[in-house]
Amino acid sequence: MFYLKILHRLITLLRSDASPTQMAWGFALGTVLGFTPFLGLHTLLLIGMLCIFRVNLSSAFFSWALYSALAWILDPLFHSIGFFVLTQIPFLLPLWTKLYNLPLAPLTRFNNTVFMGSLVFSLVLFLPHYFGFKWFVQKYRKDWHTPIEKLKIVHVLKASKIVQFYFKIQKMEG
Amino acid sequence: MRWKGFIPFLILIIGWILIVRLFLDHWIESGLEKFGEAIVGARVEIDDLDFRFSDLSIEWKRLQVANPKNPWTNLIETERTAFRMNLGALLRKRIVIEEMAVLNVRSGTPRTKNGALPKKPKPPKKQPGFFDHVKAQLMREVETMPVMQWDPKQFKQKLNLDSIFALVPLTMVEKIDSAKQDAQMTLKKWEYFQQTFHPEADLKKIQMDFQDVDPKKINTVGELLSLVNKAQSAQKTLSAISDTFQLRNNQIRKDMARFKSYGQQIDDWVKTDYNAILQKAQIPDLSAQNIAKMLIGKTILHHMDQAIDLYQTIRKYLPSPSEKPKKEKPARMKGQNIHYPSRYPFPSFLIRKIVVSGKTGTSQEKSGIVWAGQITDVTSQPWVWKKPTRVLLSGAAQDQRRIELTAILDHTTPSEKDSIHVQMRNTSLNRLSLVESRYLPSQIEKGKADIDFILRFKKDAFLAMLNFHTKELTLDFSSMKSKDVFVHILQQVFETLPQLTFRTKIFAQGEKIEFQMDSNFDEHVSKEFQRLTAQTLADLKNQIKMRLERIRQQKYQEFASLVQEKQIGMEKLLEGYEKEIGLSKNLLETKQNALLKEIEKRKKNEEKKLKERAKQWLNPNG
Repeated sequence: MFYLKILHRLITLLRSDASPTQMAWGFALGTVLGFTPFLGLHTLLLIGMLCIFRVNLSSAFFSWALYSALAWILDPLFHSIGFFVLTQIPFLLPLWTKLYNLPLAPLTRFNNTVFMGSLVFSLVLFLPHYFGFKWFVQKYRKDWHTPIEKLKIVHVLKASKIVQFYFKIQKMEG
Repeated sequence: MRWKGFIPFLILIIGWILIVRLFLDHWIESGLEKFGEAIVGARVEIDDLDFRFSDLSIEWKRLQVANPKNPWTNLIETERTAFRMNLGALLRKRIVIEEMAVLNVRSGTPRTKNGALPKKPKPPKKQPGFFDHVKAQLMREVETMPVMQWDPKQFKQKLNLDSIFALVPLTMVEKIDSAKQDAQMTLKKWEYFQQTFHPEADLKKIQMDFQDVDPKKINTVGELLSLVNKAQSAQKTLSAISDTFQLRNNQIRKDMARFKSYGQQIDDWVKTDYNAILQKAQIPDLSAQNIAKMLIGKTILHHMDQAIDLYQTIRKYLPSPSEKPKKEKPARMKGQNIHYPSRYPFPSFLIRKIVVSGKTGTSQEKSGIVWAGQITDVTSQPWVWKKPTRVLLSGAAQDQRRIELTAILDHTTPSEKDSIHVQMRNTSLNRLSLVESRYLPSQIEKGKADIDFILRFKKDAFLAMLNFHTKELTLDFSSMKSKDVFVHILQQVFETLPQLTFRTKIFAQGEKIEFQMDSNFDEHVSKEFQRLTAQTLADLKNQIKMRLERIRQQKYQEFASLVQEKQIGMEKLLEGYEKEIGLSKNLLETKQNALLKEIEKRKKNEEKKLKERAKQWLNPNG
């Protein structure tokens, strides 16, 4: 059911009138939120950015939810990347030591291997996500919208009680 | 920019602050409780915790830590505790508390709720560490210590003559039996000799043939020569008889000498048996160091084991420095925190000073100990703080009891050093139940003790010492109603000894482990035991000698009766043969000489006659 919800949310997003650029920025920022674990200062900063900058919130929350689920699987990879970045790159060690001794910086938990690994991973994928999602939205609206609307799975999704309930909530939100 | 977006963001932040403000006290309280419960293994309750943002202070009204072994009482209960945290440190994710006052600490107070935690599935067994190795070694040591296996029944058995003789196979009996076997075989040889060697007829014939020979009465030289030949032939027969006889005679004489030597050796065999029996019947080695070990070794070790357990638990929570972070396999989504050299002079967690005071429970018999002290430099990163944790607690009661605990837990460098010293003076032993043992009184009625417990740990070396010094001891012997001599001696020593001291030492390094225990009690019991058993031993020795003598007589008699008669008969026989052969030899020699002489004489006569005849024939006128 979770996957159906995700799929439906994606289709709904793609059908909306939001600008592909804003949607792509939202998606990329949501990716960072989704991959990085723990609620901390970085969460606050990213949410602040989502609120202040003109980015699409729905795509941000969509990618946040999507990558939060994926992050768990990628956890060992994040740990390895984080351990490498935090301990194996000599020229970065003075930076980490400086940050470690600064006020507030330690509260971000930057010295945690999973956090650092996931941050590096999501930052590396930030621009590819942005451009990729932008291209995808444009392509969908131009070429894939009509054939996909005809697909049986879309009809099933629309007919499902949970999805109808979701639509109602969405209408209430305006 | 979406300026309208500021409003929801601000609402979000304000909402978050409000939520934190509302629930933070509860979060800190439950966080501390859970942390404490994980360490203690029983319920930890903090009442009315209050966290103030304005001055970053925390205060609670009461702290209760349930006793995991007795969950209806508290291990520790404190009253109001308050402390402040350092803001600069907190912004660097460090908790630094300058001074914490923990007042009116009490233990053993009753609880209104059960303090046991719901049972959790046992965690998988970890690889045994240094202390597990020490404990395992220690228990192996205890199990294999011979004194621990000392069996009084065995000792009684040793004092029983039949048991002693059953324990030692007697050399004397074995040797006499083998001498008997030898004698039987030799006697068979003698019998064969007697049956096969019969020179009597030959000797008689020789004697008959030559007895009446008178060379002068023999007419002719030819007859004489014939007799000489006969004598030579008889000589050969006699030589053969004599040679055979000599050979056998020598052998038999040797046999007889051997039989005689058995009789002489028997004294040595008896001595060997006597010594072997004494060795086997020896009183167990009740020299110093053994008795105290035997009596209370396991009990002391049990207490030492508990102390090691407690220290092991403490050590589990003491941080260890590591020079370079090693990659770990952290729990999912938890990660591993990498620590860097701190330029900010505070570790992640630090309490500079904890001032504690309290009182132990007061009973009708004992007044409570009022104690106070301080714990300094409690930190999660001693290698950052560069100061060891020090504990200094001291207390005293109205009845002269005193206690002092000094501990230095130095984990500032990788070569960790811990030292704990507990001194207890005039500790009351009144109505103290002792371990159930047939050798120990059931309880101490009255008495005091000075106890010193020292524990030191450095890297892979561990030293634990327990010195116990009792004074004014009165013991309850009602459980020791035994006829056992050993029990009697112990009771006597317990009653007369003014002071008892026990010194126990356990030292472990790597694979090596030493356990020592000595006591003045050892020496006294040993002396008394040896004094009482001296007479018993002397009697025992005499009894052993007498019994050995009886066995010797009986066994030797069997041998002697077997040999003696035959030996006498054989000696007579041999002497007879010797005499007859000698006689025959003499007779034959005499007769042979006489015959030869006669022949010579007659030869000369004949020569003379022949010469005269020749003269007459050559000179008929002359």
